[in-house]
Amino acid sequence: MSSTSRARLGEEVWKLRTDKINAELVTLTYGSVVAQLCKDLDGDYVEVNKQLDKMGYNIGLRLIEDFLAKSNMQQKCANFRDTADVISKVGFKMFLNITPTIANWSSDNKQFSLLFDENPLADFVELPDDGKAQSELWYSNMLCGVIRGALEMVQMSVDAHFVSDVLRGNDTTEMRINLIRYIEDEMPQDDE
Amino acid sequence: MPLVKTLPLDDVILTEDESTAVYRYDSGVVSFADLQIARGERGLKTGAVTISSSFLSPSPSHLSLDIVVVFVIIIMAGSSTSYYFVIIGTKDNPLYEAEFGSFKQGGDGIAKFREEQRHMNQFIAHSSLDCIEDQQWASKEMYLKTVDKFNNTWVSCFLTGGNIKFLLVHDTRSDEPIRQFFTDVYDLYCKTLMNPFYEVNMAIRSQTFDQKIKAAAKKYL
Repeated sequence: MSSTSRARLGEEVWKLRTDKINAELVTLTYGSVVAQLCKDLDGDYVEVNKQLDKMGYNIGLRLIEDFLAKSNMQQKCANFRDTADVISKVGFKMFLNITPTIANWSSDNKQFSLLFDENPLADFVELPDDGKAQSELWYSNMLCGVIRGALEMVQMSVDAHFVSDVLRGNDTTEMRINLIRYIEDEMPQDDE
Repeated sequence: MPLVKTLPLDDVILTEDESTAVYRYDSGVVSFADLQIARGERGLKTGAVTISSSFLSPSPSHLSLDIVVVFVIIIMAGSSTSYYFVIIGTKDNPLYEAEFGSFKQGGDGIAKFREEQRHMNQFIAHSSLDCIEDQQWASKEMYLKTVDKFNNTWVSCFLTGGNIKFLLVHDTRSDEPIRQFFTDVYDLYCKTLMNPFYEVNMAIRSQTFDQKIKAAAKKYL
């Protein structure tokens, strides 16, 4: 499947097979989750990042099934570059109606970046100016967990984390995704 | 022999288009039309008019009049258009305040309040809150126009649905630009409120907000 036909597929699923929801409702819901976590954890932003990632992971585990059902993807991705393309053009398109740019491939084709030109989760957001949030909190960290969880269900163990965020005053919002290994079907030991 | 008399600010009031000066004295009011106003340094305005004594009847007791009187009027910096803007929360607590001058008619956008006027502005805004309470149910509109007047300053108010008040203390009347300004501010305020880290009645410290308010002021005021 070529890159353009994936883009078309993403567009089609978004148009025909996705129930839409008001964007501000999503923004506010996600925002209150993050804000409440910050409050509950007393401004321990490292822990907030972890919790967001965990929530995302649990979402990803389920979301992949919905993704496969709706997108009707029959064939397996041939390589990690294909996977990246599908994540951006079909996955993000169908759930958030955005298509992050894929960039900065490492030479071994195991690492790439997603550049978010727009981020519906972070509309209206300004990080608290307590001197810590700007350097510690990754506001949209749930997305990392979603990707990690979803890919794990299709036999890919990855590490995903943000390396820059416009909310922190960076020029771009960039998420780095790193393929650790393909998970082979592991037989339990001594299983005769 | 014409008499040259300098009148202090409080005695002379300029009309909105600055073409006419109004002088109030103990036994009457006189307007000087065709006032030539030259803008001096630091926003000082001086103007001279020539009037005949027949206009002044009865004549002001503290001015001895000849047939022709020449006034030199010095209007202090305070009367070039300046604005004091404040957002008031639901508990009558201030959330944000800013001062700016007009950019219209070659203004530089810097507020020209005299030092003693600056804290007066806060009192004037505060005292208008009672007037707003009286008027807020009388109108369906959020923009209540001018709600209060104190000497030469007016207070315009915009009341949001959530009972947040935008107050503008100003020294010239102009309803329409102020309405447009308030509409922009309302938009900005809504966006601020959508920030999950902001709560109602919290002081607004965002620099982006500040910049955008000032841009809106530059655009309309």
